[in-house]
Amino acid sequence: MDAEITPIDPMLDDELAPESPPLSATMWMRENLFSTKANTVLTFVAVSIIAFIIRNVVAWIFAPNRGWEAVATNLRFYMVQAYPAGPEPEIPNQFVRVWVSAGSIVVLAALSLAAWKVGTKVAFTKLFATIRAAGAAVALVAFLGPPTQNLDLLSGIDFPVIGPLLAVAGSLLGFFIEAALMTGGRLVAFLIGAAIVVGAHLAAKATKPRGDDYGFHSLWMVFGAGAIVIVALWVVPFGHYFFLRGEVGFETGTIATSTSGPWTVIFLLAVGGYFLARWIVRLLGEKSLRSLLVLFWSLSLPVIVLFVLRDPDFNPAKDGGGFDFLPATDVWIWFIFGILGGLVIAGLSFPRLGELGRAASGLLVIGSLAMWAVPMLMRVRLIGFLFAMFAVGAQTFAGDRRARVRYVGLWVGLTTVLVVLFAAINTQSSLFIQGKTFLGGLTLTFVLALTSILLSFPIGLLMALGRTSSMPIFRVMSTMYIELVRGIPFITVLIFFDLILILFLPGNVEFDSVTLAILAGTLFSAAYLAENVRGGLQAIPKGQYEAARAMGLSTLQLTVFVVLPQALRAVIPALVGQTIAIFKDTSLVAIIGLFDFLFIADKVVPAQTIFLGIKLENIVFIAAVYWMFTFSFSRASLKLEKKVGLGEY
Amino acid sequence: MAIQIEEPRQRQQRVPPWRNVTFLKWAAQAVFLFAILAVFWILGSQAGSNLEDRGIDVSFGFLNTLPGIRLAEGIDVLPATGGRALYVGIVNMLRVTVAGIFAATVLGIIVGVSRLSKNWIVSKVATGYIETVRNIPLLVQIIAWGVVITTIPGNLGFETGPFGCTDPVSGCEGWFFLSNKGASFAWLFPADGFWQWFAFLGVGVAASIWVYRWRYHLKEERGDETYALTWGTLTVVAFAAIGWFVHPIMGFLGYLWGWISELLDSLPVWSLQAVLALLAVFFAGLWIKRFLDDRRTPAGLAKLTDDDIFRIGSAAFAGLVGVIVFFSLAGISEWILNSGRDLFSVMDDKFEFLDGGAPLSFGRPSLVQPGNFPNYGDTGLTMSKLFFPVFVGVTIYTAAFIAEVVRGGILAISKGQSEAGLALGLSRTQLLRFIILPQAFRIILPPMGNQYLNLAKNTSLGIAVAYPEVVAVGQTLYNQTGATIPVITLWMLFYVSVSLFISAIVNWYNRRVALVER
Repeated sequence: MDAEITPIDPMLDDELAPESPPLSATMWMRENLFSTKANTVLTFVAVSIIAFIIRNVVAWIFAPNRGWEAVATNLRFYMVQAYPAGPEPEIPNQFVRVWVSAGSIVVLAALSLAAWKVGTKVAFTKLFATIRAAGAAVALVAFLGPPTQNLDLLSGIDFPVIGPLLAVAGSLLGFFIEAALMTGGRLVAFLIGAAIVVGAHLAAKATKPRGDDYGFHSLWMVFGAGAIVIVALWVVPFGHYFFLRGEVGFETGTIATSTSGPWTVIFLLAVGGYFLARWIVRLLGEKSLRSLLVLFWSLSLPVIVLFVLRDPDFNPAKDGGGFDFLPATDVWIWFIFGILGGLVIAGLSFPRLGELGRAASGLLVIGSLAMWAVPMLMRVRLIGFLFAMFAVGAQTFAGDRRARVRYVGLWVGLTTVLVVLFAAINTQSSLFIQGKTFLGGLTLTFVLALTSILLSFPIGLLMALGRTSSMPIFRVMSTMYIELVRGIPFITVLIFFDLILILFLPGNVEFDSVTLAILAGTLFSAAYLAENVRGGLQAIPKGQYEAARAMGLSTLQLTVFVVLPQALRAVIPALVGQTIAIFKDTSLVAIIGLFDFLFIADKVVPAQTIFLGIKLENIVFIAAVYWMFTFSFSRASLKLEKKVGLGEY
Repeated sequence: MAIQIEEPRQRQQRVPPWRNVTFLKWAAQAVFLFAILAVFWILGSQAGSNLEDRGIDVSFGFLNTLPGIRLAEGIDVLPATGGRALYVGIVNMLRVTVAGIFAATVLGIIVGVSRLSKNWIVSKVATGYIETVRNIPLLVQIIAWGVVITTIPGNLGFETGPFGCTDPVSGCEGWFFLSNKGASFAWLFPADGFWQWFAFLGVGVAASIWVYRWRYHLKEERGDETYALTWGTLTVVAFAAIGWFVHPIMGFLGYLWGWISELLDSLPVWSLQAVLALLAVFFAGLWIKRFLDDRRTPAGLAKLTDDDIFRIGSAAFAGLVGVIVFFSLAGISEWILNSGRDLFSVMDDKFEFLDGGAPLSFGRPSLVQPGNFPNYGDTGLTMSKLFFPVFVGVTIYTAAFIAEVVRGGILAISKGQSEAGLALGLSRTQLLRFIILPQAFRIILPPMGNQYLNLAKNTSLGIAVAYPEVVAVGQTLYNQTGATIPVITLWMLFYVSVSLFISAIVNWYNRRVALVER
């Protein structure tokens, strides 16, 4: 890649770290593996444990009666569950919506890679070293793996009773016998691994003299991997079965043939978008692109879920549905709260209003609370409450004209978005779906996790402030809530919302179980988030408060401009950890019967006629997918921590 | 020339209420409290009418009626009442929790220390374990273990192998069995004389602490090694060994327990009520006194803010509520008296003066075949196929987190501490005993308590593999009786009390070891 791409963050490359002189292989082993007698024993124990695990795992994965077909065939099911995909006549194929959603996320990600200039330079030497290690791993696994030929040697000792060492001995013996007979897949895999090691080693040696500067941009690796996957989709027939009307058919349509086209288009769009965005950044600078992308990202979840996937039926020709109800309520709500409310907020942020403004916003808060006592539309109450909160905040932004304009603009934009979203929620979906909800599989897992964490963030923040506040009633109530929720397991909260909540609401209010699960997740994780944020609040030195007070900031200004930015920065690792925890916790909705990722692997696929009883394969597959996501989250958070300068003392 | 002194204003101008910060704060809180109460009231009245419409039972009557359910395992698989069924569920939950806490602590410490090992491969294995286990949802792991145990190759007992059993029909013993019925292994069981021996051991521990202090004191006086720790350990061992033979003499405690039991039986209920009420007043007063002492400076009592006054007021109020509750609800005191009496009479039964067999008995697992299918005999300790996935799942999962806690605690001790200790001439053991471990423990214990709490809550996932712990039993109960609200209330009460119990222990420890600042 061209020379202008430099590491974005000097902290990311460790040129400042002192380089230890490379040890020779024997020296390294003596130092790290055999330094003392006890160490040698430990090494042997660890090696036999690893060998034992590898051997059994490989044996399990490649056993001839493994039902991996169940996973491959149900991949679509795992991703989006029963999203209408045709080809039945009465259910029109709506799968293009899934592709649009997936595509917009991938393209947004590619644009963001360009706008934030993600990636570093990868030296060829390091790349080849990594490939060499991977090849060595392949060779090692092949070497330790179980016999591919039934040589009738040491049979019956596969199981843990004999102990790892004998198993290793058996597999080594088997390997040499297989090698002598020149048979078996193990030998082929071993030879491929060995070839990779030799080739990569030679390449690494050849590139070494040119140093670490001789390399390429790391994104090329991402694009290359993507290209390999795309090509593989065209070449390899992944999945040998297909689904039609709940029946499983064979061979005619494979997963690969139905997904290769869309994925290719998405991939090309993403790569093209990346270079386009690079060009725009070079031309106009990155600032405007970044803010645009932040806007897109924040709108992406509701737009994709409510509009693209759910498809609200705004068809004006249809009776009952359509646009005709919009002017009646929603447009008025938008006008009253968005436009008139915007004017009120603009007035309240007038600097010379003084105490009167505070009194007025206080009255607005009381009024917004009183709205809950009067029967009216729920969305009006919610927007009214938000309006009161914005009115209270208005004085904080009094002063600078530009800040006032931006504040009012934010309010008008927010109301517009909210009104549109509420209208979409209240409109019938035009989808013809078989289950209760159009969400399922991994999509549902992601929607649950993201929505819960996003909605719980403001609640958790308020509760953390409440718990550290000097106002006793706020403190006592926040503390009680937090401690109660943290004391009970998530599954009881889920069951509570699933069964009980409906009893407390008026008869005409209905929630589907996905909404209930989101509510449960939100209120549950809010308590944990509050504790995380509280940790950050306590880490702020007292001098900060005193300095802010001395400058004459109000409590709100002190909180928004001084305390929270520091507190949130300090708790980034904890917040990411909480996000990961929520992502893992969404699997619990399988217990209350939502068709999430786990439920499909645990209950649905093992019940299909031709895959009857194939369960562990499915569980292992979803475990691998969960692991992939959580592991990359935690790695990304480590990088983020480094970037904002945390964890360095 | 007279110096004009400005007259100090006699009366400070009164702040109008809309500018009075204290007033505004309280007004906002009152409005908020009122709003919350109103919401609860509205929801409650709505729930009342909804429940009436649907004819849903919200009484706790199911606790006293026959639930007609059969539990898969536990101390009582055919419970006579709903309350008994929940109690069996609680015992099952506590069984897996306690076993899990022990196993996860041991495994977690091993993995955490291994991750810090200088041995490259050992630390990589530990890292791999942690990164794999904690990034996969626990529920997925529990379900996977459930599948593993039910599809394990070979039926009960393996056909071959040194630990297997070739002929289950005639029955045989082994050391460790693993099959689709669960796992069974050799174990030490408490036998007849266990409690008397245990009491003897308690005396031994007290004695060993005394011995340890004495040797330690001697060491400080003389300055040479007195092997205090060895002496202490040997004392316990000696008591255990002697107690094995002489433990029947501890049976005299049985008379004591019996006497206490009779005393509790004869005590009138009002006396306990009075004691409890006095205790409530005493603790409220103690809290207020400590609070005021805290606010006292050399210059006298600091000015109390409205928040401080609120705290003092609520402490006093809590004390008052305690008095009222204990006097108006005699049932609480009666229950305490009755259960105390029962507890001591059970303990009386366990202790027989100058009587009793071996304290512990050793049992090996066995296979028996009473009917068509082989099963485990009751000689070994058996983990059922329902217990196994929950236990293994929560143990392996929590151990990964405990390992990180342990690693963090050890890493947090700065290198200067070890260097300073070594420079003082401490030996490696002394360094570990007096410098590293006390500091690491201070850091490790609170998050460790959190992990135990998580483990206790995570056992509720046993519902996914039908392990009959309190959530699963509760679900069965409300499916039978329709009493959802009472069951969920009981769940929450139970889990909140478990978590309050664990966090009370952790907080107590924290306060004990907290660094005194300034």
